[in-house]
Amino acid sequence: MRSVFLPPHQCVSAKNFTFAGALRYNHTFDGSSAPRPHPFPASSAATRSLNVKRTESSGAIPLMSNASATTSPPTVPSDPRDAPDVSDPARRNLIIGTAVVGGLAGAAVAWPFLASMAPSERAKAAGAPVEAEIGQLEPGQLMTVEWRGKPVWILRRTPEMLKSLNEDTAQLADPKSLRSEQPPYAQNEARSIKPEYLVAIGICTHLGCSPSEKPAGDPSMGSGWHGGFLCPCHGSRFDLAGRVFANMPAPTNLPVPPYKFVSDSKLLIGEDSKG
Amino acid sequence: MANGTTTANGVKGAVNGKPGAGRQLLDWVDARFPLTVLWKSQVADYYAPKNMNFWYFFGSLALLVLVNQIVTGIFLTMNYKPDANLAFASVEYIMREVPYGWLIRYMHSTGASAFFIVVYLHMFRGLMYGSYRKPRELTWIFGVLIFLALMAEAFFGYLLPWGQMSYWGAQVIVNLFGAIPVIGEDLAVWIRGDFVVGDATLNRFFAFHVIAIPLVLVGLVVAHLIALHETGSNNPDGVEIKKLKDPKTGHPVDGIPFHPYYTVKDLFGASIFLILFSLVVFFAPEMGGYFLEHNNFIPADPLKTPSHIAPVWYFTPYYSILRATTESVMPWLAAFVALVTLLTAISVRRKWARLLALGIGAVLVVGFFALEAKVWGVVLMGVSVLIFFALPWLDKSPVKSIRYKGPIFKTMLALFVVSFIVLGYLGILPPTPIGTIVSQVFMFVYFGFFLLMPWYSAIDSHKPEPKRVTG
Repeated sequence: MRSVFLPPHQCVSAKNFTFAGALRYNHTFDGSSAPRPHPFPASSAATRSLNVKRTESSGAIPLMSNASATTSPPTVPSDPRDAPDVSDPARRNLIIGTAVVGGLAGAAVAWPFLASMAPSERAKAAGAPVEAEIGQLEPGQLMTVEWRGKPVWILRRTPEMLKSLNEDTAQLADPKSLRSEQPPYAQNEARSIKPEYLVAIGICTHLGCSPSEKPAGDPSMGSGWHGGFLCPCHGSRFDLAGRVFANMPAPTNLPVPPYKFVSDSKLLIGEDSKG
Repeated sequence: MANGTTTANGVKGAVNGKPGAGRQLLDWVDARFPLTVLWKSQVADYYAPKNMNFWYFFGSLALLVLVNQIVTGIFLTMNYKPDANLAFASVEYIMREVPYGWLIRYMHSTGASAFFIVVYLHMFRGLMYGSYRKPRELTWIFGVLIFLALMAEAFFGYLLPWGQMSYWGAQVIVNLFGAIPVIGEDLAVWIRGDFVVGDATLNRFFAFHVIAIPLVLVGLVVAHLIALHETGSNNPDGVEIKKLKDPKTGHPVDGIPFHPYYTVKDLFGASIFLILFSLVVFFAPEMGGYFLEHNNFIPADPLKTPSHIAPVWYFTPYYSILRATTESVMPWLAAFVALVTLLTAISVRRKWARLLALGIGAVLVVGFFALEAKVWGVVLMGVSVLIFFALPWLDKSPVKSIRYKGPIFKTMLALFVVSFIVLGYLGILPPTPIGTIVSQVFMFVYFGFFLLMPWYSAIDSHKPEPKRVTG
C-alpha cells in the first residue's frame, strides 16, 4: 500500500523520515545533493544548538571568529550554522549577557500579566460593613447575611444551647479558640459579645464550603449530638459556638467577623467599636 | 535524503508522458512543503506492531474526543456568556432556545466524561504492557502532562455553567491552594481574582478553558505523537519490533504500515465508540447525575453549600485521598514513609543518594506532625497524580508486558485498579467514619503500587520474553 502515489524508488526519502532527523539534517526537496547556502549569514542560537555535533574544522564563522583572521577563507562556502565557536570567551560572555538581559526583559513583561490577575480596585473596595436586623430573630433561629460575598450567620441561642457548649469541650480541637480567628472580644467560650447571639462566618476553615445547621438529636449525627453544624464537603463538625471537633479536616474554629451592636435589634458586621 | 521532485514519470494519471494535474499539484506542494514525505513517514510507511489489540483503540479515540470537545466548544462559546449574572441563564438558553443547542451541549458534557474514560483506559493499557518503559519515557511524560492539562481543562470548564456544584467545586479546589503554608491565602486570592469565587473567577476560568489550556493541550498531543513516532509503538508483548528488520526492505518483520491497517482498525473502534457515545448523548446525557450532577441545575448561591457536594466522577479517586488524610492517619503515613526511606537507603549505592533519601524521609516524617493534616491532604492529592511521572524509573522488572511479568506485579496492578475504583466510589458518597477508614486503607494501596514498585518488581519472577511478538 505504500506506493499508492509514488513508485517504490521514490519512497526512499520518506522511509526513514523522523522529526528528529528532519531537524538534524538539511533536507533538500529539489533533488540536488549539494547543500544550499543558508539564507541567513549569522547563526542563531537555536539552529546552532541543533548542529553542535556537526562541528568541522572548516566551519569557523569568518564574521565572528578571531581565529578566522589568520586562516585563508574556505574555498567552499561553509554552512554558517556549523561549528559555533564557543571557545571564544568574548563571544560566550556576550551570549550569557544577552540571555540574562533577555531573561530579565521576559520577567518584566510577564509581571503586568500576572499582576492583572490580582483583585481589581473594585473588588478590593467591595468590603463595606453590612447591617443586620435581628429584632425578628426567634430563640434558636439562624439567619444568614452576606458580607464580602461570604455568608455570616447570626444564631440566637437558647439557654439550653448555651448550656450544651460546656458539655463537649473535651472533644473539641480548640475549645478556648487560641488558634482560631476572632476579635479579642469574641475569644470566650460562647465566642460572642452577647452570649445569646453567635455571629460567625459560615465558611468551613478546611476548604471553604458552608456548613449546614444540624439541630440537637439529628439522627444523621449520631447519639449525644447537642446541635451544631456539619460541613457537607468533608464532614467537619462544629458546635453551637462554631468550634470544630477534634480529628476533623477543618483545623480551626469558624472565624468570627468584627461586629458591634448598633442597638439591641441591629448589628453592624464588618466594623467594631474600635474601627 | 535528497530526491524530492525527480519523480514525475510513469505515474497514474499521466497523459502522453506528462503527469496529470493532481500529480503536478502534489509535486508543486512537495517542492515547498514535505507533504508526501510526512504522509509516508508518519502514516503510510510508519510501521506499527502487527499484534496491537483492543487496548490500542484508546489513543486514537482520545484524539477523536479532543476534536469533539474543540468543535462543540467553539459553537457553545457563540451563545455562552461568561458573566456571573448571565452564565447560568445562557446555558439554559442554549439548552432550550438555540437550535440544536441541547445536542451541542450534551455532546460537550458527555465528551468530557468520555475523555476521561478513554484516557484512563489508555493509561491502564500503558500500565499493563509497560508502555512507559525505556525507550518511551518521554512519550509517557508528555502523556501525563496531557492528563494534567486535561484535569485543569475539566476543572475550569466545570465552573462555567455557574450552578451550585460549579460554584462550590471551584471554591473547594481553589481553597486547596490556600492550604500551602505562608503564601497560600494570597495565592488563592490571586487565582480567584477576588476574595470569594465570583464574576472575576468565572471570567478568567472561561479564558483558561477556551483558549489557554486547549492550546497547551494540542501542543502536548503533538509532542506525545512525535515522541511516539520516534520510538514506535509498544505492543502487548512488550517486544521491540525494531530489533528484527527485514534486510531487504528495512521494515520491522513484525510491523505493518499504520495506513491502511490501523487507520481502518481505528475507524472500526471509532464507530463502536460513537454508537456508545450517541446512546449516552441521546438517551442518558446526565447519566444518572454522574456526568451532569443534579445540584448543578440550581444556580450558584454563595451563601449556601448544597447538602452533598462531590466532584464529577473522574476526580473522585484523588478527592477521596484528600478526604482520607486526617490527623489519625498521619502516624501510619509516617511509618509508610519511613519504610520506603529505609528501603531506598539500603538499596541505593551512592552515599549522597542514601543521605538524600534519609534526609527527605526525615523531613517528611517531621512535617507530618508539624503541619496540619489539611496541608498533607492537599499534598497527597497532588502526589497521587504527579506520581505517574515517576513510573518509568520505578519499574525494575526485566520484562515490560504483564504477559511475562510475575504474580506480584499482577496482584499489585489488580489491587491498584481496585483501589482506584473504591476511592472513586467513596469520593462520590458523603463522608462517613467507615468510608474514611476504607479510603485510608486504599490510599496506602494506591501509593504502595507506585512507591514499593522498585522492590516488588525486582524480586518478582518473570517469564522469558519471546524474540518476536506473538499472535
